[in-house]
Amino acid sequence: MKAYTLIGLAALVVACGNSAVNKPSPTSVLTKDGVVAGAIVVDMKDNVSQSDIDDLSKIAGTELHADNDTARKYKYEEGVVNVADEDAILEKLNADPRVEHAEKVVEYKALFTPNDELYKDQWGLKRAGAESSYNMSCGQGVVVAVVDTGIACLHDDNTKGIDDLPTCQGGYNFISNNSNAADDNGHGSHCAGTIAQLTNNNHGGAGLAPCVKLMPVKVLSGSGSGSMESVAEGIRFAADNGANVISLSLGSSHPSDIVKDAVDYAHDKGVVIVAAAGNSGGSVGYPAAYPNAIAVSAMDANDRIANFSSRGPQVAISAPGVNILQQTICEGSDGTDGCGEFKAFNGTSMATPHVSAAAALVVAQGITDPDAVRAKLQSTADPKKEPNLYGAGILRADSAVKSTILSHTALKLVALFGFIFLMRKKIDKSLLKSKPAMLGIVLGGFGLVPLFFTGLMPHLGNFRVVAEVLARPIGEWNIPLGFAYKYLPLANFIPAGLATVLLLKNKFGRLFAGGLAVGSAALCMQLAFSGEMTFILGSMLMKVWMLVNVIVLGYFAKATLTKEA
Amino acid sequence: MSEIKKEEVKTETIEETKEEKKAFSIDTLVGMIKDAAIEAAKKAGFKTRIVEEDGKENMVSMDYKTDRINFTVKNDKIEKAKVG
Repeated sequence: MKAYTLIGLAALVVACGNSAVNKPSPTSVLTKDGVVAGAIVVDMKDNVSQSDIDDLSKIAGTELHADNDTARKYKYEEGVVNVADEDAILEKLNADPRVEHAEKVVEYKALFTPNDELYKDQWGLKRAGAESSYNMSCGQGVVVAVVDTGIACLHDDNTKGIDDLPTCQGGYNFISNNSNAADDNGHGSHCAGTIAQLTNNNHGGAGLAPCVKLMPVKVLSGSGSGSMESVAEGIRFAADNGANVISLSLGSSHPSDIVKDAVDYAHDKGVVIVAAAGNSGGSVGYPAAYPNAIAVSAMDANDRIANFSSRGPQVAISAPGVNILQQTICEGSDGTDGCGEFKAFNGTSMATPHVSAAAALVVAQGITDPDAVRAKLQSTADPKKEPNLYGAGILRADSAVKSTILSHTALKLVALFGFIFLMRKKIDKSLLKSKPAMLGIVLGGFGLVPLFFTGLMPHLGNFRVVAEVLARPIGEWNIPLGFAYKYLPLANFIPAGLATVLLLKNKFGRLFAGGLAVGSAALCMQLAFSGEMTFILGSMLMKVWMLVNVIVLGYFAKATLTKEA
Repeated sequence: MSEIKKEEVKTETIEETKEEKKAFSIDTLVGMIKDAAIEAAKKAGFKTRIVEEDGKENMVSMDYKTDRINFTVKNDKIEKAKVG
């Protein structure tokens, strides 16, 4: 069982990352100047009485107190002392037999916080779990279309001199009918920034999914309004030109068949549609109210629903939408001067891109089916009791990504052992324990270097894409590389097949090919069982095709993992 | 240093918004000729936007602005005026 134990251990490493993500823990790192001046914490012996605590408070020269039930139970008493006396006081306390440890309070920080100067004011990103999600996913390889007033993009000729804009690709202007989808209102740029503002560049603000490629699709004029036809055309354009997610911070109180058809068209092509619930305070507007759109309501920094936010059973999820700070363009400009400025906007418009970005992070981890993305975002939201206001709850991007990684890993492990069990009479299991076979299993099923929970990912800069690829099984390399994510599941058996054909004569190569077949079979079984990947032939045929892959891979495994081979 | 401009964010209730409208006599815009209403609103410091004209509804951005009036227009006259 040694070989299996190694794989289980690898999965355990992934699972253990769970605890390192959300809260300070022994794996968190300390900031260089993380000491909180004058603050001390005293870990007293469990049997001390209140009079002992009062006595020790006198020694400390401050009232020592426990903040919560856990602290009271374990006698973690905190206080604030004069900084100049801090060391002497701690020395006295540590010498007291009633004290186990007394030390300075050090602020723990999450493993990665963007260095952008305004990030501290972007409460919405923090509420959505940005600091944790940055460690796991940045949306590598995913295209998000912002169907809006346009986007002021980095390196556009008309936005020279601004160095904090997001990067864009493609796009179209349905107001002027040309390819220049620059923003002349500011709304689209603000929304786009929440998704993929240039992040960790020591300037301006941050975005929730900074590796995403943005597609600017301009359907609203400089006044912030546009026709139903333009919106429908914009949605279809985005779906036809490679968008994985469409962000719609727009709406109307009246339904439109042509817009509904466009939403359904995009959804059927495997595109996630996220739409603003509306600002009427009344019923949910359109296109948010259509079944294939994820309707987003807006809440404030105190988790209260914004009073302008529309409500009703169509609300799928709630996200930050009050006082959202992000880069926009000079108001009233024609988009050609593009002066960079940051403003706090309100609206379900602002909540929507938080969800669009989170959807992109989930897509980047291999859940590409729009209904599965919706289900993942809803199941991992912070639950609230009023579904008409909050839908499934308040968005947690980090929980969605973490849950995706963990559930996929667990399902692949089950599939791996199941596949080996089914093949027990057809392969020599002792060969699976060889190093080449193990390498193949890891490469085919899990990814060579799973850095998701190490905190290293955000620090890799331009090398992050390499790490993202190596962290994924070979059958999912197309996702971080951003191509053919609907078609390449057709080719899942090919790497193992090629390896079998090319390396069959070589002892180590044959074992590697066998491992690759077994690992790839685990991946295919996970894809079949979870049904979370968009496939050109539809979800049912996806499952059938994956099971066909498993059978073919079984033959490859049989051909390579027997002593006679 | 990036320029930071934060709008004053109110968490007013719908009723408060109505109060604001009343205080600003937004209701008096209803029934006015479209161009005149837009001019009057601009003079009062509001931005304006037409969300529906002669039954043709526009899609609009879903940012909520307390200094903007959304107009519904019928036969070149203002039928509804709402802040947002």
